[in-house]
Amino acid sequence: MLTRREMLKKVGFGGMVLVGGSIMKLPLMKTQLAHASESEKWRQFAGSKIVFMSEDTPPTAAIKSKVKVFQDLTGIEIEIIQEHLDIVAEKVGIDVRGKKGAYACFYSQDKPIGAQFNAHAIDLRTFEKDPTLPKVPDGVGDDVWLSRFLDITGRFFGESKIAAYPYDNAVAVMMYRKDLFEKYSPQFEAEYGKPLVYTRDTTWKDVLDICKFFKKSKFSDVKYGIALQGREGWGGQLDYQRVSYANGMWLEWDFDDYFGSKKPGPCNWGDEQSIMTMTNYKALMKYAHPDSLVNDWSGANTAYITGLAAMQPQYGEFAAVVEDPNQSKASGGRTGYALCPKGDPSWIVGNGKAVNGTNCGIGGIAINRWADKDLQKAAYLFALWSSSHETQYMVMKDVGGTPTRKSVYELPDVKKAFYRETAPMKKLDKPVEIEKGVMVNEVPLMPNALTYAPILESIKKPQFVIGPKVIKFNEYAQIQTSEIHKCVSSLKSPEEACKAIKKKTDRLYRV
Amino acid sequence: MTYPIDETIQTPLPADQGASWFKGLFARIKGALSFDLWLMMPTIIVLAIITIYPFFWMLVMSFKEVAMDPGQEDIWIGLYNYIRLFDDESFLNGVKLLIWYFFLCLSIEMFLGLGVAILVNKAKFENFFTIIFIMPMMVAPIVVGYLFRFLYNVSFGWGFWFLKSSGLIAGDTILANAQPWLLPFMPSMAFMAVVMADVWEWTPLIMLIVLAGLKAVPQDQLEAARVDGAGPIRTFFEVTLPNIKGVLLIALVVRFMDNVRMIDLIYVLTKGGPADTTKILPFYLYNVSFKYFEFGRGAAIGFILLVFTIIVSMFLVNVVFKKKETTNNV
Repeated sequence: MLTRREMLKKVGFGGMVLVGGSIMKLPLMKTQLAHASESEKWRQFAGSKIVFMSEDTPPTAAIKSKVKVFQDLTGIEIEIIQEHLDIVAEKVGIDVRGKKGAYACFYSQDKPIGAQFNAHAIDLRTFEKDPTLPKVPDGVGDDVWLSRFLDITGRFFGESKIAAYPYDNAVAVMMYRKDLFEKYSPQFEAEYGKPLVYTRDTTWKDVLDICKFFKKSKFSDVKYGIALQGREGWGGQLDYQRVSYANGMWLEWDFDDYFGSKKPGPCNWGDEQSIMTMTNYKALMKYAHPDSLVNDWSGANTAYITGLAAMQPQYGEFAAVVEDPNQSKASGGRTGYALCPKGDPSWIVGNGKAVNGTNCGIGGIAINRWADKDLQKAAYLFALWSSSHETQYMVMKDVGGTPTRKSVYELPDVKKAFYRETAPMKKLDKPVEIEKGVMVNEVPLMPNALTYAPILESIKKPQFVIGPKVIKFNEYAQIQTSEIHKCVSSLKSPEEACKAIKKKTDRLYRV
Repeated sequence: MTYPIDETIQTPLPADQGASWFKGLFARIKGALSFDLWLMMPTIIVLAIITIYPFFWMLVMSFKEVAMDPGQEDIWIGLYNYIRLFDDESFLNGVKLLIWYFFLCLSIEMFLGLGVAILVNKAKFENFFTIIFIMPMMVAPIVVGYLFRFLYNVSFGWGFWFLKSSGLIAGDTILANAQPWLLPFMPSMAFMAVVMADVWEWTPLIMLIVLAGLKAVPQDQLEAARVDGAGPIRTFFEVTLPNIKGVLLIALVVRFMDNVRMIDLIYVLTKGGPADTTKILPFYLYNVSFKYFEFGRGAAIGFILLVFTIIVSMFLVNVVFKKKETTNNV
C-alpha cells in the first residue's frame, strides 16, 4: 500500500512529466502549424474572444452584419463596438495609454488616431512573416491597396513599421441635386450669365454664386445652396482644407504629406493665401446652411437628405443613406456625384495652381500592442479577413462598404455600378413617396459605388491632399477650427484669425 | 559656507521622555476620537485612499510632461504647466464662461425653482404636480443634450421653429450662433441654448429642495404673521424666506458643484463651439486630458479647478453655518 508521502511523490513526478512534455511539444506544434493547411491556421484561435473598437461608419456596420462569416471561419468570437470617432479616439487613447489592451484591435483613422497612437500598435510585418499565420490571396503589400493607402494609414513619421491595414476609406466628393440644378438653371443663368450646372470645372467661387442664388431666391423645395461641416475639431479641419487646398494647393506645412512629421516646424498660417482663403470661406459660410458651423458629416448629410441644401461635399460612404428613399428626399436618381470644386484663379495669390482639392480619412485596423499575445494574433486574423478582397466585395455588394483594395474596383459588376445608367438596381417591396407625387420604385444595388468614379479620380495627385499627419493633431484641429469660427462669426478678421492660428500652432510645436 | 546649527533641534529627547511624548500624543488622539468616529474609521480610511491617492498623482502629474509613447519617460517641468495657463486664451476664456454659466444657471434655476415650489406647496394635487415637475431631473444629461439638439435643429427642431416664429431669436441658427446675447460682453446665443437645457433639467432639483424647506417653516410663525395682518408677500419675505435661506444655500452649493463638473450637455450640443463660446473650463479640461491626452496640463487645470471649487464651496458652507449659528443664538 502506498503511503501518503509516496503518493504525493508519484503525483508530483507525473505532473512534471506532463508539464515537461507539453513544454517540449510547443515548438513541435508551432512547426506543425507552419505546415498546416490554411483552414487550420485560420482556426488555431477558436474559442478566443476579441473586441474591435470602431467608428460608427457604414462600412463597420456592414462588417458587423457579416461577422458570422468570420466566426464560422475562425471560431473566434468578436465583439464590434461602434462609437462616434471622438469617442473611439478617447477610449482607444485611455486603453493604450493605460497599457490595458482591452481592445485587441482598434479603428485607426490616419490623423486623429493613427498619428497619436501608432506607437501603441503592433508592427504588422511581424505577423506577415509568421509562418503559422494564414495569408490572403492578394497579399498585403503596398501595390494591392488604392493610391498609397498603406502609407497613409499604416506608416508614420518616416518609420518602416506598418501600424495598420487600410480598412475603409472616406474620400470627399460633391453630392448635388441634379433635379434642382436643371429646374432652376434658366433663372440662375438670367441672373449670373452662366448655366446652373456642376462639372469638374466648377470652382468654389461658382459654388458661392450658387449658394447666394438659392439663399436669396427662397424656393419652396430648397432653402440653401450648400451644407458644410464646420464643427470644431477634425470635421471642421477637413471642411476648410477642401477649400484651402483647391486654391493654390495650399498646405499647413511643407513636409511629405504621406508620412507626416513629429516636428513639423513653422506652419504656413498667416500668409497671404491663408488670409485670402479664410475671407472666402467666411463668405461661403454666410450663404451656407445656418448650422454649418456645428454640423459634422452627419449633420450636413441630414440637411441634404431633408431637402434643405442643394449640395454637400460629403464622404462617399454616405451615398447609401442619400440613395435610400425611406430616409432621403435626394434619392430616386436626383443626386449627382462629382469631384469636389476646383479652386478659382481669383481666389489664388500668386502663381498657385487651382485643383479639385479632395481630402479623406482613411480608416485603418490596428492591433493593440498591450493585448495578450494570442489575442493579438486572433485580432490579426480579423484584420486580415476584414480587409481582404473577398470580404470587401461581400460587404459592398450586400450591405455597402468602401473598399480599400484595388482589385475590388476592377470587378466587372462593380465597374458597372459606378454609373447610374448601368448600375444594377434592386426593386423595392413597396414604392416610396419621397415628395408629394414623386415615387421611388427601385434603388441601386451598390449605392456607394456611384461615388467610386469621382473618388478614383480624386485620389490622384494633384487633387488629393492627405495631411497634416502630425502629432498633437487633435489639438491642432481644435485650434484651427475655433479660430475659423471666430472669423466666421465676425469676432475676428480673417487676418487676425490666421495669425492667431499661426501663433498658437507654432507654440504647440515649440517653434 | 556653513550654517549655524539649531541646538534645540539637534538635542535628542531622553528615551523615557520620547516614549511618554508618543504616549501622550496617542492618548490625545484617542481622546479626540469618539466611539462613533472609531466606528466610521474603516470607511474614512477607504475614502481617504481612493481620493487622496488619485489627488496625489494628479498633483505630481501637473508638474510633468507626461510621455505619450511607450518607452518614453515623463519629463519633470516644474510649474510650467501652471504658468502657461495664464497665457492660454482657451483656459482664461473657460474660467470666464464657467463664472457666467454658474451665474446664469443658478440665478434662473433659483428663481424658477423657488417660484414653482411656492406654487406647488400645499396646492391641490401637490404630489401629482411634484412628480410631473421633477421628471426632467430623472433624465440622463447626455439624453437631455440630444433632446435639445433635436429641438434646436434648424431643419426639423420644434424649439427652433417656436423661438424663431415667436420672434424671440434673431438669425437662422441657435447652436451655431456665436453672436453675443443681448449685450456685447455677454455670452453667445449658443451659450444661452446650453444654459436653457441645464435650466430645464435642474430647476426641478431646486424646486424639490425648496419644497422640503417650505414644509419645515414653523406653522406658528406663519399664523402669527397672519394674525398681525401681514399679507402673503410680506409673510413670504418676513417669515418664509428667512426660514428657507439655509436650504437655498445648500441648493446653491449642490448646483455649483454640479456646474463645475458639467461637460455632458456641451459635448452633445456644441462640442465647445462655435468660436469657443461654450467651452467652459470643465469642458476644456476634458478636451486637454482626453482629446489631446496632455495629462500634465490637464492635471494642472484640474488642480486649479479643484482649488476654485473648494474656495467657493467653503465660502458658501460658511455662509450656511454662520446663518445657522446666528439663528440658534437668537
